[in-house]
Amino acid sequence: MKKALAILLIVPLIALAGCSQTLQLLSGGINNPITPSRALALHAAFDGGVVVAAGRYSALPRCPAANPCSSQAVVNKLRTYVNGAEATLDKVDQWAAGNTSIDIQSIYQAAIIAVTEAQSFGRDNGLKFTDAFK
Amino acid sequence: MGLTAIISAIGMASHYAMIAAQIGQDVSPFIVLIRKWTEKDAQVTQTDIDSLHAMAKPYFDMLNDTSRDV
Repeated sequence: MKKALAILLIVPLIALAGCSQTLQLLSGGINNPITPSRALALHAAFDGGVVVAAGRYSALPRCPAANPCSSQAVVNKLRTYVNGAEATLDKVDQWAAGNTSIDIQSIYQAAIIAVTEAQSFGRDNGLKFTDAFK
Repeated sequence: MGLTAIISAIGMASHYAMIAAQIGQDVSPFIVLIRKWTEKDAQVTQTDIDSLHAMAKPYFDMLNDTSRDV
């Protein structure tokens, strides 16, 4: 189970690691100026790096019916982390689209925390992340 | 390791390789967007945002599909 999740997560992260700016986006946090393009790039990196893998993993049959399989417990946690992070990133999108009533500093910080939580969840399950999420 | 186990291991490796290849294809469109917004610092439009959401939607559907839940 862990092997399947590890492969599904590591492959997109290796691909994303090729985008050098992505590393800065994910590790730079809120210390750098937040621009709409930078905010959207963070969202795209999260969707491409985590959501794709989470979706593919969840589409596997639940264990132990098949091999490879997905753990129901892991899928449940992925739903919590990924959907929560996406809701925050959607607010970042609204700011990027011109909604100036959004406090982008706090929302962006919340987005970074949400992405970090997803990373921690992966580590808790014995996953090794590439530089994209370090 | 018996022959059955070896064949099973090869089969599993092949299966993982297929999944990995599929994931690689899945990620490519997101990388195009990331590069557009970082390396070129392109202006963000609502169309861009809608495009990102459309790209991610199938994977959210997979994640939140409860038909396989046990």
